[in-house]
Amino acid sequence: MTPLLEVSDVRISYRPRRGLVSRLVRALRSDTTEPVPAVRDASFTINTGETVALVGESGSGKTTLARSIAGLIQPQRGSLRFEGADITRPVYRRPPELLRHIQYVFQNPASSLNPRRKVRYSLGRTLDVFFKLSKAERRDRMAGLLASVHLDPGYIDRYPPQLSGGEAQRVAIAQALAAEPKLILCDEVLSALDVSVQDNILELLRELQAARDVAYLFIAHDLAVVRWLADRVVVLYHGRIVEQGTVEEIFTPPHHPYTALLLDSIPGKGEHQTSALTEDASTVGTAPDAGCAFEPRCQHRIEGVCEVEEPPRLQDSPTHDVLCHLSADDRARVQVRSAAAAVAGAPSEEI
Amino acid sequence: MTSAATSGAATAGPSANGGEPLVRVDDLTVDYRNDDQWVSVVKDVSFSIGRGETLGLAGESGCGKTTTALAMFGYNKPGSRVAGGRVTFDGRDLLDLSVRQMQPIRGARISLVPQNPASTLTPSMKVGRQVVETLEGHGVSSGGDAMDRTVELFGQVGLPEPAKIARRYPHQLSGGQQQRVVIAIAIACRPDLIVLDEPTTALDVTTQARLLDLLTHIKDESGMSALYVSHNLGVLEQICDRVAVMYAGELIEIAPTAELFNRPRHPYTRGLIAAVPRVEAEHAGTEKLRGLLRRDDLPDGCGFAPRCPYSRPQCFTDPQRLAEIEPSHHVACWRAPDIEAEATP
Repeated sequence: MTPLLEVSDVRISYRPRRGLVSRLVRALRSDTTEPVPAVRDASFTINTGETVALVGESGSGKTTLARSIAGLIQPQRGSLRFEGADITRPVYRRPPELLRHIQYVFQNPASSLNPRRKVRYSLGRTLDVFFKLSKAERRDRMAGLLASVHLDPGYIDRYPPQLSGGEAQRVAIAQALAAEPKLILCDEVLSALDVSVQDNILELLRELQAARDVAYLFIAHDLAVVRWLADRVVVLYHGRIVEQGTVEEIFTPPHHPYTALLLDSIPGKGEHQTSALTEDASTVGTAPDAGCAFEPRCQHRIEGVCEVEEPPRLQDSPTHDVLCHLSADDRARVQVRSAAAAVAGAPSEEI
Repeated sequence: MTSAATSGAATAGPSANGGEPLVRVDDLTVDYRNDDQWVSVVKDVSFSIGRGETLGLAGESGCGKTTTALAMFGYNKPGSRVAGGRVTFDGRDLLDLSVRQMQPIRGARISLVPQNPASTLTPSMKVGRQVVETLEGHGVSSGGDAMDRTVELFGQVGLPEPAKIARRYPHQLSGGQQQRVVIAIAIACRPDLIVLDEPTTALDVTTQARLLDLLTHIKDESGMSALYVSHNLGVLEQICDRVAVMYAGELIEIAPTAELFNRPRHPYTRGLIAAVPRVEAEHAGTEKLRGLLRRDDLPDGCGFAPRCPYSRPQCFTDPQRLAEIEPSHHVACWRAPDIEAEATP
């Protein structure tokens, strides 16, 4: 079966500024360094009606990857295929049908909806761009869209500032649905919302998927929220995919050490194994030139190996791969041991 | 229930370690102006914070938790007024103090860590200078001493290479580093009370976990009290001694943390706990919160009644008051005993 979306070996770097002053400054500093790629060698697939979660900290390249799928950034290398056809081209060179099939929902609905236009305008505009509808059809479609995100018909005449955060995010989702897409890129759609509202939106996304067979690329920094939504999870660290697998595989040890850290950071689960005081803050947000990018923060690094050699991609199972020098057995051993050590209150040993 | 029994000390739960609490809030009512009318956004809220205690304040957007927390500073936003109640801090009523009298308290004895560090710090001033300003402003230290103390504080909040960071501008720091600078400013004068208003909401989970550990560490070392405001009960569970839950401007449950999480009595608290995203197991669907807090559509009785799975006709007409149902566990729900019986099979 051809996957809905296939991302292969994608590499994206942000170009250095090319203005005269910027070039002059670089020349004077004799700065010839290549820009660090925001995403490197990323490969994954999304099937029809499936939810793939893309997880990582800010700066890990999640949004960059989503933007490249939407055609807003051009990858330097690699390819993107949608239903088997190559779509590695910017948004203005994509056929309207393709634009319709890939929709984007942003983090902050307050800034993605036009505050001076009624909901009627935002929904109608999407319908007008992609469909030729009679007045009556157009009206019915809009009512249907609002109903599908559980908003009363009266919301059609509201302005975005009159909506709560959760309501505005529902309108943004309705706007994406208006195009009848096959794939929706959900970029941190919950982060700006209260936990109780997050729960409602998650429920809505699940319901819409069951009804319409739409696929989601769901971007989040919190693993807990993807636990009950995603079919598969892709973990990104510093632009590299460090682990991917089914949701069960990701949440069951052995994990990639970075995934273990993300799991450990979820609030409200008592004792942490990796505390602020054991993790050196200076190692966060930077990656070394050689070896594994996560090595400076890793509790289980192998001296003489991890800081020198690029980690191999280990296949833990046909659907589960991990970018790490530690074998699955080694990871299982240290993760069980550090969990036991955390219970006993002792610091975990390095292997 | 008589009004005498529900006001003042009766509703302010006992502080954790006995004795006179550091802060006592009695029947605080705050109004906001809506056109020509005054609308109460905080209604008769009473609680206390003991010395060295961390109290969590939970609730959805718009429930009045931030307004309540800002009352610790004796002021509130323009277009609002304190319509009643007292906020007693170390024996003095803060709401009676003038701006000038409040000055030596604010920042020195009670300090604030707001939600968004990027908009708290002055963008055009080096971060070290901003800490020095606080120290000098309160006469704690000055000149070179203040700079030395700043570097020491930066080390204390876990900033790498403190002396170097002190010479940076806010935009040169990450969100987590900026929030550490704000925490350094907040603890600079060794306050008695630190008010944290959603300090980690804008940050990554990993950064959040590190900051929570840091705050726990600082509290343990300094023995200061804290009021921690958050919509995420999972965060409060980790850091607080007691948790108070607000809904539509009223306090609806307050209990020691473990007690609140093990035996939540108010239906709203149960819903909020169920809403915390967790990895372990999915919560039963029946407890999930339905709908949203609508201030324009509150019944005369319990504000939560329209969304409550346990509501009865009386709930819509009879106001609910906090009552102690276990030692130091207060709930504002007359159905609390039945709910526990129904929920535990």
